[in-house]
Amino acid sequence: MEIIQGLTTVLTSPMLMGWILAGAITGMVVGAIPGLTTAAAIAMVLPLTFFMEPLAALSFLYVIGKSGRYGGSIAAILFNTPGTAAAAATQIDGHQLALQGKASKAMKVATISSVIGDFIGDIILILAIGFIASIALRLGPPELFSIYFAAFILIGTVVGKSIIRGLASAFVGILVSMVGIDPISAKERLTFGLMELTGGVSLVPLMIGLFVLGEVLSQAEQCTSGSKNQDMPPNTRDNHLLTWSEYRSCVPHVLRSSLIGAVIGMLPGLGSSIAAFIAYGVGKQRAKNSDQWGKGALEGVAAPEAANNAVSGPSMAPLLTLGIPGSTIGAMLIGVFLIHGITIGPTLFITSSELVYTLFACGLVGIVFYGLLGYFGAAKVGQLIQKIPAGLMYPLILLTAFIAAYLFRGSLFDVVVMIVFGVVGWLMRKFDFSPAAFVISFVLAGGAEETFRQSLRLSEHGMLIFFTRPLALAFLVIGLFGLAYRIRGFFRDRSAS
Amino acid sequence: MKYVLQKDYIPAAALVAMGAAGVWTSLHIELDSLEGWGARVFPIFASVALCALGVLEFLKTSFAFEVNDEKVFPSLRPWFIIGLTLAYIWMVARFGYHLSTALISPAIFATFGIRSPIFLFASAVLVPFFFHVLFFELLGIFPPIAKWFDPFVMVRGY
Repeated sequence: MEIIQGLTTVLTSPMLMGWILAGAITGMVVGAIPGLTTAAAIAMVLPLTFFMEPLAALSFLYVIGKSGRYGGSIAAILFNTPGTAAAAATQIDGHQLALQGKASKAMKVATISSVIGDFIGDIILILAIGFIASIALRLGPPELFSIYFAAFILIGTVVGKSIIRGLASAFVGILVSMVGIDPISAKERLTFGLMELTGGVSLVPLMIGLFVLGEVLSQAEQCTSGSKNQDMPPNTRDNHLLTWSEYRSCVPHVLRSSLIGAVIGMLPGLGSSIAAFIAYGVGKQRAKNSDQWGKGALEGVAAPEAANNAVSGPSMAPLLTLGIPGSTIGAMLIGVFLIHGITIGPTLFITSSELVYTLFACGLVGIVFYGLLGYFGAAKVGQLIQKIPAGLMYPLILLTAFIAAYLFRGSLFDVVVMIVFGVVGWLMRKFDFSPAAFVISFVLAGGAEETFRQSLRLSEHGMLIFFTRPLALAFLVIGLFGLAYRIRGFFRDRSAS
Repeated sequence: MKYVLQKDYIPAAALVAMGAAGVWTSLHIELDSLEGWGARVFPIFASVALCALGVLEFLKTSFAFEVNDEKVFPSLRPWFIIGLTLAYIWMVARFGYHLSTALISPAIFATFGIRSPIFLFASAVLVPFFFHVLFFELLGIFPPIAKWFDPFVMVRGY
């Protein structure tokens, strides 16, 4: 089996193991810092990976994504500030446990649940991806365009608080991606006479601006320069240890939540935070001790953490088979694939099957690494981060973002792009738009336009081709159904309030 | 009766403006060799969608139950940082990376509340040094070329 071969490659390569360990540490630390997202960290280190071998670069970033999803729980439990959006579900019970002097116990539950969820997600990915790729090979331009359409609608309506602003974020992403030279007719579009824009807006500086500078500006608006000191009751020996009898009641929640996370991970645009909250909600409904949830139930930490990390592996499925990122991190990985000359899509499994399965193997090893680091070291990471003043951290992040944007192509214009989209990212956060929907749509728009125009060339009846091909029609209906469902939910919530 | 400008009208106006600008710019995209609108379709579609969403947002705000009159920009600090970043890139283009970073680092740290003169002076020396070693020496990146003069280049002799 290719995965066994991949594991052998990884375990016999000290360099790869080193990069996976670096990714596990980086992701955990970054995820644990409130206000610094894993996406921001990946955006900043992405230019550094240009100097690395493709597999080392991909494995480093992939493991940062996995480990970062887990790392968010550290800040959520210790500082009552989730390090990632998904960790907001962990925060509900996690911080209550910390206030009861059980921070270490809570973090151990989070670690074990994340590891189990991540493993289950990865196993589902490894078993299912060959099948998904074989189906994807049979899809033509009309079907692919319909999938893109459904992805845009789902991303725009589910991500973020407002349907209108979520969709608007997606359409702004589409519009920005149109800048440059049209690949079919070679006409300039939206370049405003600037030669630097004829190649389009570069993804890397855009992401650094949106996720790093945008976040720094948001934090600057709120922050003080002090450190995040909180008085916590000390951990007693009993509260430091986690026994099997305590964790046993979490197991059904972990297994259920892992499946929830895996299914949601396969759907583009939904992501970890939705999986975590759905898992928390379902878990609370089915729990025998539901009255304890919200007051410091260990199960209330286990469920969202398992779901959160179970998203990681399956979110690679639409990315690798269709080129549709399932998450912001996936959108960034597309950039890495492109830079290293690897074409993603269904033919990836024909041309680079070994690379793909070795990447999955790197993910499995990465889970082991962050699991061990987290189980024995999460508390120490949290204490260290607590001591770093925001006034020291954010300026360094800002200065690093500058050089990271310049690093991409050695162009100061990219730094200008970074600043522009930094302001855009800040304003998007301020007015409840969705930077995630923006960047995913930005990445997808080129493929969507290409398949749309190819479909029209294939068709004898114009746009009717999307309605006469059953699979294409099915995906269009899924997208519209998703929109209708969300709108219905919005009006229902509004009338209830 | 005093009129309160709702915060939520701002994104509505921005969306309509962006959409209108997108439509106008898209209509100026050249037609392809067969006089087709191929290259215009997606930009126009996205722009029209933005206009429509902006109008919907405007209507939603107008009929909202609660007035959202919170201050849009409670702090000037982000604007100051944006100004510093623009000044930084202007300086890098003219004086090179090292001098510009030495000047801007203390300003950025001070903006985030660090006031110790010793720390600020140390940042002016250590930050450019650290980034120089990491990016220009270890990774071998070529630093930006200064249009006016670069003291670092003058010191190194090339």
